[in-house]
Amino acid sequence: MHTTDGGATWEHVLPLGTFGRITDAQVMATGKAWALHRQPDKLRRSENFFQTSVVNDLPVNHTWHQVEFGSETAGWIGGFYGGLRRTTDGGASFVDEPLPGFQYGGVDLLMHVVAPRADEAYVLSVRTGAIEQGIIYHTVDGGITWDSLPAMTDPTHFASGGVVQMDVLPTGEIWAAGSYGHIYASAIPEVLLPGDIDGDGDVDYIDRDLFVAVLMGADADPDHELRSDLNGDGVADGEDISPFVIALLTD
Amino acid sequence: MRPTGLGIAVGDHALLRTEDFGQHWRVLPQGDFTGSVRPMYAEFNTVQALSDDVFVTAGRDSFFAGPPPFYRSEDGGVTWTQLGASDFDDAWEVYHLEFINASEGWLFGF
Repeated sequence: MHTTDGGATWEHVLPLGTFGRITDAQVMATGKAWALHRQPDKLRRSENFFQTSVVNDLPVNHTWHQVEFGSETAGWIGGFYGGLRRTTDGGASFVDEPLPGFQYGGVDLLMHVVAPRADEAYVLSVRTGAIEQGIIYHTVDGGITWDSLPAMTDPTHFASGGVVQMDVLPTGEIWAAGSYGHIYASAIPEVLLPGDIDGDGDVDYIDRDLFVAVLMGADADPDHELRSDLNGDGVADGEDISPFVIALLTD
Repeated sequence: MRPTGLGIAVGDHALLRTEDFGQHWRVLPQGDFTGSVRPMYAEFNTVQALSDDVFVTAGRDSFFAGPPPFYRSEDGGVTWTQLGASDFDDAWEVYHLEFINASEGWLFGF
């Protein structure tokens, strides 16, 4: 269903019963869009907000439940039993990306993937057993190498049943929600002053210059990029200029 | 969770709101919702913050098997209004929603 008036009215984009249920989807402002069908497992991809789309078959027996793109071309699909595949061509083809340390065969379950950028991804998994434990894997090189986040592997944080979903703030802090209503945080983030790109506690001409450098692609410092995303949409771009000017003028 | 510390968590029969990065959470009272499907009768599967003020959430009517509840808040998640119910099929369940701005969005489900 599609709305252009904030949700007051809706119209069908895809007829009901078109392949299986859609368990996850992503739409970018450029029109690039993906939807993951279950039973049968298929990936629908579109260049024009689902006005037209192409459907690819996916391997069976992975219980695919999530599609997540960090850019228009680089993305992931994840399955409950540890299936994790990466694409760099917008979803036309995928390669397997096994997680080191992940126990396949139903011991570990893959719950959620978040990709803040093309090469960066967080993968939330749950190790089943008497005490279920949440583990978050992190890559910054497109899955070539993975780390598990030490602060999130403490079972005292997760011994409450399945941890099913997470949110990664622009600051890098992680929030995870459990199936029994528990909510966990990797840390209480420092409240950053909007527009304070260098993190020195004010918004001044230095922040202005850094902000411009990030938007021009001349500054690739991850902290500067994160703090230049003032509207919180996951990317520092022209949409952040207006909120930055407001922050600069009001500080 | 917004960078300001405002966050909304959704689940079965309830929505929770925090203003301090999750140090304190408040279950939103049923009276803060305007619509035919109150949260007590709904299961919410997905939520998205469109700004610090505007939030949207959707799921399924788990009690009456009616159209799925789609709720929108314009005041930072304090009060919520159900929208679009007449356009949805009964018993349809929304698994995921995606908005690209305050106006345009999609619901996905089964």
